[in-house]
Amino acid sequence: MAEDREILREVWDGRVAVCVQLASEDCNTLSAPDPYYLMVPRLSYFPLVTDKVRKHFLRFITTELNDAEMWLESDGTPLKWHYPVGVLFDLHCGGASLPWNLTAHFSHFPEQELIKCSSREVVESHFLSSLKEADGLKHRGQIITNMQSKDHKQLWMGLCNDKFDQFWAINRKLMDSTPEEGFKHIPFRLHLPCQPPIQRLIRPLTDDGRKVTLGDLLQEFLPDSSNEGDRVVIQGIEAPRETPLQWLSEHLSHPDNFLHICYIPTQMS
Amino acid sequence: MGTISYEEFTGSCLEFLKLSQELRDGWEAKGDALQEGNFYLMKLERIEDVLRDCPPPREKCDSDKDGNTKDNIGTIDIMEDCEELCLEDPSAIDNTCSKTIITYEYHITYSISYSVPVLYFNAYNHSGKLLTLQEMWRRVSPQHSEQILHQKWESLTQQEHPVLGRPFYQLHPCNTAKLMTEFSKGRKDLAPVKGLTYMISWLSTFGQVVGLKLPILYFQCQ
Repeated sequence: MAEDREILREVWDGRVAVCVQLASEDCNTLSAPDPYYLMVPRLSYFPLVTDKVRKHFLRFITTELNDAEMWLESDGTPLKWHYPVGVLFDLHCGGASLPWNLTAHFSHFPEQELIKCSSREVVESHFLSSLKEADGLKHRGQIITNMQSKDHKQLWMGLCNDKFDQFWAINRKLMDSTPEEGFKHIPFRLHLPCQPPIQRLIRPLTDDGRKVTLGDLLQEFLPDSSNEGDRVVIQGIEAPRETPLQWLSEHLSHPDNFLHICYIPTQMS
Repeated sequence: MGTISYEEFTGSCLEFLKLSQELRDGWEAKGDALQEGNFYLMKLERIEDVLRDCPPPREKCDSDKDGNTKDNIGTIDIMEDCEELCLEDPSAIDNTCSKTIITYEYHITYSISYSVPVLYFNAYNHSGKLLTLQEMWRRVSPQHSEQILHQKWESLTQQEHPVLGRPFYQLHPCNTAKLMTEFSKGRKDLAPVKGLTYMISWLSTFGQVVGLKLPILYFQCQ
């Protein structure tokens, strides 16, 4: 059970400031709609929090596009909705200038780049499959398999409805481990700009019982790249490289139980 | 039990590949086997669609009206096939009833999280358009459809390809290890299934769910 409960709450409450404009090619009216401003939870997924954005733009697009799937783009790059909001923010915007300016599109869905998201069920299925995968790495899947589907539902509803207590009542079981051993492997994804995320196996302890740190992980999976000014961002903060991975996994993971690490090389900062 | 390491995976793939080349079955290796998480096998296959719900080929021979960017694999070929169907099919009584060709792209990658192979695939219709998730569910083979569709959201969905980083349909690997353990139980010596046998057993099971057939010669050549 994670001791630092306050940190869990702070992470849960993290928000990013977003400003969405309608793509000009989808605007069917003489005057463009006002941009839509919103604070979006870092831990959520865009399809769960953009209903109001869609409604706001609906009367400005042609009726043909009324049922089209809305997709978001940041500075020319379609946003992978299946990544948590905070990860996308840290990768694409990094707080260089706020709010984060996005463009909403209703046509030309880039099916080569984006997974389709026709309903909330798609998001739910994606979320649950990440949870299963993470538990597979941590506990050989034994904890999640032994949960009832109502527990899975509670995790999902807790995320959807921004209910910290509801979510963590179940999630604490997925964060369970003995202090001596920790998880079997640490579920993580290492995100770099313009490439698929790196996912490998890493244990929280070395053979001689030393705690494996964030720095160890980077050294192992990005041995060739290390420049002054490269930023390593987790949940929007630059974690010290000597932080143990087990601790990071328990406290700074996303609801999908993965530790999403954004590596921003210095020339792109 | 039922799992394999990345090294075992790449080794089995390379053995499988040799067999595929002998049988001219069309599999190719992609990426670097020595680099963890980088290696996979790929195969393109044109299959006559099992369903007849595609619109008449003649209409759809125009370029994609939505202006979607084309996949760079074989779209031109698909268009040419389409024209052949339209103009030169003397045996067709009625164009609206003629079957269409679906191009499947199968990938075999390794799942770090589950320590098993995973089957990713995409399917394109004759105009090069990606089939939707609903269309993929409808094409699951009849003998598996009940099992898969009973829990379709946990069985077959779009995911991000671990090497290419773009959308592919995937048969979820979470039950693979358990299934592969069952294969071991079928053996007299109860030894765990490994190597080429593992690959062939695995692929024949998962592939047939989504229309991928393994010629019988694979089984005879082990």
